[in-house]
This record gives sequence, C-alpha cells and structure tokens, in this order.
Amino acid sequence: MYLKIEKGGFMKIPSISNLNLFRTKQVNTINQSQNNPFAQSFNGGLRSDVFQSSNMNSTANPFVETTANIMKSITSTMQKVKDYSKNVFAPVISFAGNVKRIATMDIGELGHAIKNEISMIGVDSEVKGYMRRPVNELRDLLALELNG
Amino acid sequence: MTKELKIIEALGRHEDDASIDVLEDLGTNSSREDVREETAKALIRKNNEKALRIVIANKGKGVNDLSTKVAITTVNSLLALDDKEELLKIIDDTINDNSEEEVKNTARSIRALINLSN
Repeated sequence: MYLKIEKGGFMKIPSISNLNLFRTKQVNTINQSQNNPFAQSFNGGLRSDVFQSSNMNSTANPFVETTANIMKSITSTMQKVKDYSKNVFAPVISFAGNVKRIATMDIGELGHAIKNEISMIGVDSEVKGYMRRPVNELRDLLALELNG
Repeated sequence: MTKELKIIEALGRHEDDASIDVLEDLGTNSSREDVREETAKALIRKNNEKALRIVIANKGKGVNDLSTKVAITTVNSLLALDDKEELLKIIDDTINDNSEEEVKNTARSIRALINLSN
C-alpha cells in the first residue's frame, strides 16, 4: 500500500498484516525482560514470583522497590504519629489533671506549688523519684548505699 | 552523680522535716568527703533554723568540717542564699551562745564575709 505525499512521490506504509507482526514482536521483546513486572502482565497477570520475599528485596524491580518505599513511608509516618501522641498528648492529659488539682487550691497553696515547680526545673529525674518516697525509706536506702 | 548523692539531694528537697535528721545522722557523720559536702548543700537548701544550725553551730560539721573542701563549699553555699534572715539569726546566736571558741570564730568569719558580700 502506498500513500501519496506532497511535492510528488509515494511513501510505502506497512500493511495490516505487517502491523500485527510488528505488535507481536514488540510484546515478545517486552516479555523477555525478566525484571519488568509490567511486561509480565502481558502474559495474563503478574507472575507470583514477583511478590516472593526474595524479589521484594530486589532493587532491580521498580514496582517492588516503589511498594517497599511506600510501605517504609507509611511505617515512618505511623511512628511519627505515635511519637507525637506520646510527646504532645501525654503532657496535655497530665496538664489537664494538674488544672483539676490547681482548681481546688487556695491562693497560699497555689503560690507554694508554683514556687515548688520552679525550684524543680533542671532537677534530675532520679532525684525527683526519690523525693516522692517517704523519708524512712530514703534513710534505709542511703544507709545501704553508704555502708554497702 | 552517684546514687547516694542523688538520695541526699532528694532529702534536701524533701518536704518532710524528718529528712533533716536523716541528713544529720547519715550524711554529716559519713567518712566520705563528697557525702559530707553534698549533705551540707542539702541542709543549706532547706534554709530553716534546724538545718542551718547543724552546718553552723556544730563542731566538725558544715563550716567547721575538718576538710577544707567541705568547709569552703558550705561557706559558699551559705553566701549564695537569697534569703539570709534565718542564717544571720543563727550566726548571731552562735557567736553569743556557743561553748566552743573555734565554732564562734568561724561564725564571726562568716558574718564578716556576708557583710562584705552585701
């Protein structure tokens, strides 16, 4: 089959049968690529071995790599949400508890509590822990530490 | 900071006055210099009559400790107190009433240092 073009002359275009041959050839070429899952879908769906664990780690497979990256990103986001909850919500809940406690204080108690809190800034957490224990317990602990 | 020093600090910050007795019994009588030093600081932090009297009016304790390091640390902690009202009262009592001349002299020296630092 020929197509007439301007300035005279003809250009040969491939026949229908030639086009079919060309398409088949292309598909076969893609299917030969072992690492391309998109190519494998031409043969009736993704190959099961693409999703096997050994292939999940394959950096040569762009589909698996992308999936792994998405999973990593989701995991990382979930961790960030968890950390945020721990760091932000917990103090807020604790603060709400303190507000309830503060609401029941008179001015003198409140002043004392504020002074106390200010003096505690920078105090070692272990020291704070000991401060919550009764004195007789601290006496025993200290005696034990000093006398071995 | 070791565990025993943390306990001493906690006793110094404890609201229960019984902590002063523990600091006096176990801390000021310890053979360890660092323990006596931390105990003196803890007692001074309380800034009340009972605690300050231990480090000022007792022979061999606080400012009268045989270790120069402990004595100087105690003096420095006393000078660093914001509110010296109770401290001055105890120093004056010590100068007037204490039976030990050495303790009286140390109290006079601290009084002079406070006057100089003001």
